[in-house]
Amino acid sequence: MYKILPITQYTIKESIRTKVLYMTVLFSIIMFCAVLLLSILGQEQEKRLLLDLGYILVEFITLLTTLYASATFLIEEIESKTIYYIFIRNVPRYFYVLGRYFGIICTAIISVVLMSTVHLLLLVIKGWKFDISFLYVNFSLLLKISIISAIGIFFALFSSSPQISFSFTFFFWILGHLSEEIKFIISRIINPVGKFFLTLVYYVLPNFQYFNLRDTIIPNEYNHLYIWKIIIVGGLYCIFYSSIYLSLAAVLLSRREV
Amino acid sequence: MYKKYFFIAALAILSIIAKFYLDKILPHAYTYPNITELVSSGNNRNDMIDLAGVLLGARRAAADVGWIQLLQYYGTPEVKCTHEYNHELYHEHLNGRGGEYRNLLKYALRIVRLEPHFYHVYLYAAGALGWNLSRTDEALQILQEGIKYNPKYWRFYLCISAIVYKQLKEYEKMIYVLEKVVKYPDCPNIIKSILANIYESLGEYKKCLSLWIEILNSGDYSYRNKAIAKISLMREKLKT
Repeated sequence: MYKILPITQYTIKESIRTKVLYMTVLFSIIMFCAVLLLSILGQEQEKRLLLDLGYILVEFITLLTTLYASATFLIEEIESKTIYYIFIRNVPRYFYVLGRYFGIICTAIISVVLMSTVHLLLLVIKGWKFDISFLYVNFSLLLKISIISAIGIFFALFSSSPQISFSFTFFFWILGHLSEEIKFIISRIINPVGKFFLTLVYYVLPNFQYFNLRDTIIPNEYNHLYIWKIIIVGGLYCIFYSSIYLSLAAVLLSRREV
Repeated sequence: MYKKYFFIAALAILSIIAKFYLDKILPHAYTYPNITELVSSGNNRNDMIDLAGVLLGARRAAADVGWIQLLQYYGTPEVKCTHEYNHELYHEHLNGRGGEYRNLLKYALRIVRLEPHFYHVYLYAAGALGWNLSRTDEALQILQEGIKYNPKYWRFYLCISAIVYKQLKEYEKMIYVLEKVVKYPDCPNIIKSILANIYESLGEYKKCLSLWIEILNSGDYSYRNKAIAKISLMREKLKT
């Protein structure tokens, strides 16, 4: 743990140094103003619009921050050879990957907390009654982000180009949200080969709809038991699935001559 | 050497087991119509918004954008309208301009296929189609769509009975049902304004006044001017 923590701290400092966090906050404030104006157009549904569009804004900005961090930080360090300074201190490569991963997650947590606070403030000003689902939705967003960060780190080491890594990871983000549609296609396919192939694709891809609580829970009508099942079992799924990509990333890094 | 690959394989098996379990419980919450059931609004730009909403897992937000577009569509006077021929099918706004809004059902269906739990859209569209535009069949169609996805939301059944009474021209029964509907806090202002207009035509100015006051107090800007005008009119009528 003492070997992972400094790398995590360094990743957070790097996010601050590269102004990623500042840009996140600044951009989110500007965008929240836009959301506020847009929600007024919703007339009787103003609060609903502010809630939904705010969630999307928080998610999208956190996603971009995470994609940027996972696509650039590792590749830059490998290209500038500064990664040597870490490895000559006898730090195992999987510790390095884990440290970077936790650093990116911590940065995402900071940005989600900051943006959600602004979001909540706006909602309360507009007369929204606090609902615990707000916390559930933001927590489930972090579960999604933790999976995509692991995928991002894997692609950063796999592709060696920030642009390609960014694109592949974003592609996974989209496919992860299309899982229910893939399941629907599987149920309609008659050809057994096609069915097998798509089922394989379904199990290889992450399913982000599990964590998409902002779309799957209806405010004031949701079942707490369902949400806790999602948080616990979904949390385990998130740990297992992320670990696969982090392990693969560690394997890739160990094969690399840096 | 092979240890790490066994470790990765074990993780893969565990994640598949977790996925099996989550797949069992997700259908209870994920009740969205699949992508083939989406309704096109006939506008490529709107279709792209809907598609982006599905691809990014943001169906509720896409439905919200659709809701704004529906309000803009229904709030914008149509240039070409044939109200002289179909006076009953023509809805006039406060400024004396209006239209037939032939695509209103399509706009509403587009939203509810993206987000079937957007109750307000069903009630709003049913109110506009059933009373303002006198297209009761379309109003019943949108409410039946609502019942299909939300069988427990019983306000739809009340609204259906009010529309059926309208079709049968049993206005007293219709008013009785509408009075029940407007008592609920989530009742759209459009239905309250419909009942207020019915009261006005029947000469029940006191009931009409209280409904317009309720609409004004809801803080809905779209009804503000109309509510103020109606309140002063009703007060004058009550004095005389």
